[in-house]
Formats: sequence, C-alpha cells, structure tokens
Amino acid sequence: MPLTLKIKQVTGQDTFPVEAEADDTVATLKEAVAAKVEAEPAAIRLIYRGQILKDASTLESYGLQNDHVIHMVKSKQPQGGSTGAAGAAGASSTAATASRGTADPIAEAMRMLQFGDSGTAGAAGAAGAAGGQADIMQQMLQSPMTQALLRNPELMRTMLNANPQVRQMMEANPEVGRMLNDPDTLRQMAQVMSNPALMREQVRNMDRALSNIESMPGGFNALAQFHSTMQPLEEAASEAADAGAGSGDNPFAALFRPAAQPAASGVQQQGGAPNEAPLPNPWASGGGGGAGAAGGAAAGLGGLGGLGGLGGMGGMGGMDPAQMEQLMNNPEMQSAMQQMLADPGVRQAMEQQMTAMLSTPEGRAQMTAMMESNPMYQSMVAANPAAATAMRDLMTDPERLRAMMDPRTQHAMQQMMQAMQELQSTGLLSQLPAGLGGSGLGPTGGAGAGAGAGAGIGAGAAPPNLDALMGLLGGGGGLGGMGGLGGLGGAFGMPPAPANPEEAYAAQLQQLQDMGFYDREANIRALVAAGGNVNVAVERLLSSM
Amino acid sequence: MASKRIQKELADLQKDPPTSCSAGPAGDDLFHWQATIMGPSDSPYSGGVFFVTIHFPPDYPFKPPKVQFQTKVYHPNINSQGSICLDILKEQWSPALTISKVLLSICSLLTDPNPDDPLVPEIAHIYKTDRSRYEETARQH
Repeated sequence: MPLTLKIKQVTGQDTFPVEAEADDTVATLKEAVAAKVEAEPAAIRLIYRGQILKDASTLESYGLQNDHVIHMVKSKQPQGGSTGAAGAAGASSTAATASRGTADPIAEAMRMLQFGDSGTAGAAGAAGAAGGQADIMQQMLQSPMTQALLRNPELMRTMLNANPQVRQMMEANPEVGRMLNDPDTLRQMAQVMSNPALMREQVRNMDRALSNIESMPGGFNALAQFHSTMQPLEEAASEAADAGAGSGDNPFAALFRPAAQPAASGVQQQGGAPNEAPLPNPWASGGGGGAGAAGGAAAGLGGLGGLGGLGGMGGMGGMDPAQMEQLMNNPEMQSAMQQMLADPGVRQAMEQQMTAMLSTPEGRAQMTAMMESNPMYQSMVAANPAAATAMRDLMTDPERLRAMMDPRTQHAMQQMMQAMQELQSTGLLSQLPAGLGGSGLGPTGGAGAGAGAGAGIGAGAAPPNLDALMGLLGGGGGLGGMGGLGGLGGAFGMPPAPANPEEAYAAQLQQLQDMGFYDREANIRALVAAGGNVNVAVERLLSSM
Repeated sequence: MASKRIQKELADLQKDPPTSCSAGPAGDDLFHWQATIMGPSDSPYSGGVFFVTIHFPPDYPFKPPKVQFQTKVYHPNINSQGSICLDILKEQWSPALTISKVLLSICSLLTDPNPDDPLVPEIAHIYKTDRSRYEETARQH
C-alpha cells in the first residue's frame, strides 16, 4: 500500500512529502529522506508518536498512515559520551552524618559549627531532632549565634539544600522546593521559629487566610490540591520530628500543620470552649474550629465560620469514615448542631437566603457552577451520574431546599448519621470503599449537611446578604450541606428542564466553549439533555461528532 | 470521555504536530504516552532529542496530565528525577489545554528557563551568574 508521509524538520524549514510503502523498513525511508535533504541516512533520526523509529522495523509496525507527519532530526555528530550528572547529587556527606541526629540538639549544634559552613547544613536536621524538647530548642534558637545564622536567608537555603531528606522532599514536591527557596519564606520561618508568640500569631494568620481563600469560588479546589501535595510532606515532617507526643511542642511540625494547630487555638481564644481532642487531619480539624465558631456565632466570628465549613466538607465526601466519626463525636460539634437545629430564627434566616438566591437564574447558575467546580462532586459524578444529577437539581429547587431545612428532616438526618456511625463501629461499613462516595452519600452526606449548615449559619446569620451566603456556600460548609442533599436527592424524581437553558447553564456553556466546543446551539442542546452536567454533555457532543 | 478526548488529540498530532514535538501512545494503553521534544534550535539543547513520558489521569482533561522527562536535562526548572516545574501542569491547568500545547510550553521552557522559580537552585544560580558555563554544560548533556 503506497503512503504519502510528511517529513517535518526541526529546524523549521518546510515540511516535504515522501512516498513510501507500508511494508518498507525505516532504513528504506531514511534513504529516501536523506536524498531529499542531502544528508547521510545514518545522520538522520526519524521520530513518530514520540518514538525514534528503528531502522529494522517496518513503517506499518508503527501504525503510520497516509498524511501522517514524521519528525526528522539531523545529528551533527554521533551520540557523544554522557558526562555523568554528578553535580546535582553532590550534597555534602558531612551534612548527612550531622542530620542523622543525636538526641541532644545542642551538642549537635556545636558539632555542626566545627564543620564550618557546610556543617551548619545539619541545623535543619537538628531542629527536627529536637522533637519534644521544646525548651532546649528554644534555648538554642534564642542564642545569638543561631539567630544570626537564621537571619541569613542565603545560608538557610544552603542548609536546607544540603540536607538530603529535605532535598528529597523538595525534589518530589516542586512546590515545596519553590517555597523553601524563597528567601522571604525562609526569613519568616526563621523568625517565627525563634519567637513562640510570633509563631502563634503566624499560625492564626494562616488559619484566617485559609478560610478566606476557601470562601472564594474555586478557592477550595486550590486548597484541596495544596492539601494533597502537603500531606506526604506533613507526614514526613512529623515523622522526622518524632511528633507522637504532641505536635504543639515542635515548631517545625507546627509549621507544616497550618490547620490542625489553629483549630485548637482558635477555639480556645475565640470560641471560649476549649477543645483538647486530637485532631490529626487538617480538614477534620476544621470541624473543631467550626464548633467553636458556631458556639460563638453571636459574636459574629465570620472567619472561623468559614473554616467550620471545612469540617462539613470532610463529612460531605464521606472520604474517611474514621475522620467523620471523630468529627461527629466531638461534643462541641454536636451541641452546636443541636443548638442550630433548635433555633427557628437561624433556620429561617438560612431558608430566606437560600430562597433569595435560588429565585434568580444567576443565583442558580452560580450555584451549579460552584458545585461543578467541587472535586468531590466531580468524583461523585464519575461514580454515580444519576445521583449527581438528582442532587444538582435538588440544590437548585427552592421548594425542596425548604423541605430540607425542615427540622424534622434535619432531625431524621441526624439519626441516620448516628445509625451510620453505629454501622461503622460494627465494622460493616468500613468494608465499603471510600470511592463509593456517590452512592454512599446518603447517610454520610447527611452528616455533612448538618455540619455544613452549622458553620454556615454561624456566620451567615450575622450579615444577612447574598454575598455572605455565597461566600459561605463556596466554602466547605455549604458544600457539606450539599453532600447531605445529594443523599436525599435520590428520593425525588427528575425535575423539568429550566425555562431558559442558555441563562441557567451559562457557566457550563462557558466551560464547553473553553474546551473547544464552539457550536453554541449544540452545546445548549447537549446541556439540556444532560441536565446541565458538563461531563455528560461532552460525552454527548463527542458521540455526535 | 477521557479516552475520546485523548484519541482526538492523537489524531491531531499525527496529522499536524508542532514543529519540535512528537507524541503518541507508548503501547496499547491510550493513557500512557511517550513523547519526544527536539531541542529548540535557538537553545543550547539544539540537536538533542529528549524523551518524555505522559500519563493521563482518568479524569483528563479536567486534571492535568503527568509529564516527566526520561532523558536527563540540565535545566533550572527540571530536576534529576525529570520533574518539570511548569505552572500549566499544576495550578494553571485548564481543560482547554492539549498535549500539543503542553509540549510546546516545555519547548519554550527549554529555550527560556525561569531561574526565578527554580527546581534546581544550583543550575538557576549558574544560569544567572555564568550564562556561558550554563550553555556549555547544557550542551554536553
């Protein structure tokens, strides 16, 4: 079978055609190409589908077809010997021995100083080794010598780079590498490390910042991504620091625990309800903060309300039954929820906000877009499209939402949740894969609804305007609520398509447009048929192509 | 969904690939690709052919593909493991991007490293302070 192949030159010259037979070998093709570009066949390399074509293989075996493009590279010289890239791996071995860590950080520090510049590399390791010995660590950090060392970001950076563990961490996580290479971050870290008061402040700022980011649309995605990249690091850090006794003692671990620590301190300082329960997961720990916030809602702690949403989020996904249970078993949380459910004023406020928002098409579209951008929701869609559609429809229907807010419904959900917990403790449920989020969402999600609503109302009731509620809903709190709604959604039938799909699905339309589907009419049709689900709509569009 | 989109990208790449990149499935698995990037002529990597692996997540294009160099590259934003520090492979990913665009971005990263956001600080330092030494070393690799 004759083929016409196009040869593309890397140097940017024109593409030229070459005739060949499907059962020709690559060597034959090379000769033909070489003749056209006046080069030795041995000096050219042909590349197709990301592979260098081997002389002995036939064109057919690579799946080459008519009109396909092959890249050609002319080598200037035969492949030279590779000079070993030893440079990068050349971290100093003295640093390695230093950071292997004796128990006594001061002795360690002294030894490092003897090693001179490269030896100081171990300081980071020493700090890690300090572990529970916060006092000694403090002492060490406050000595003028160490302070001087830490005040020099360049030196810090060298130190961190020379520590093989840190290095590994950085190589595996480019983001972290970036962070650790930023002189400003380093300086801040050093400052914070040497001043406990500042550290507490810093940790609280982080907390606040997190809750702010999180209430922006799309912010949660970013946070989730950040979290997943930070998780291994966090583990590594706490391992290295032997944090078993209590992360609070170890400034290093604390640096990598932006949420766990503040949740506790936030409750103590602002909620007025101490919470000593261990909070191993930043997301779950948000629940602790949320409890505090809901308790102190009268004081208008909007920021923490947002954080509380994180707890709701954890519940909503049913990601981790153990976390969930912990969150729900937290007495603070339970009482906050009870309080919330019992207060008709709060409920009414929430209802009003919801209705106001959902009565406008923009509000609905925003809501849907928000849900679409939630990774949990996406995975749920993947696991169970029907439930997802039902859930979305439910969320955009004010009537049903109102029904959801009914105290009886909420109460029932709570019961459901408790039943779920019992099931979990008997080990029945733990066999369910977490990925079942979509279908398993019924009861677990119900819990999320309670938690989410608790936090949401905590702050939402204070400034009663649409924006505030949107913000809260953008946060995990509202999403937690949705998780619960999803569970109930299955019970209701499919609602009719919206009156004005173009407006109602504006966000999805934009998304499709961005993906390269330019036929607006077809997009609208597909979206209507898919009930507004972009994934399903894309599937439809592609199958009709 | 994902596999259809990947097939479409493959068809486009076979008919009209970018000048300096080539990509396709490494075997029968559509989600695991092999790609080559030919060193841009206006860079010290000119004449070099770099192999890259691409792994598509099941929810592609909603999640970015995982792209890694298999060939060792001496570059401030590419480490010895082949990890690439490129925003569109992380937080700046958009479903509207394609493999072809990603590979082109990597090409332009080869031509214009970003030493202010380095993955390998030593190389970034050399790049900033001693450009000719950087180019010499990059050429040797």
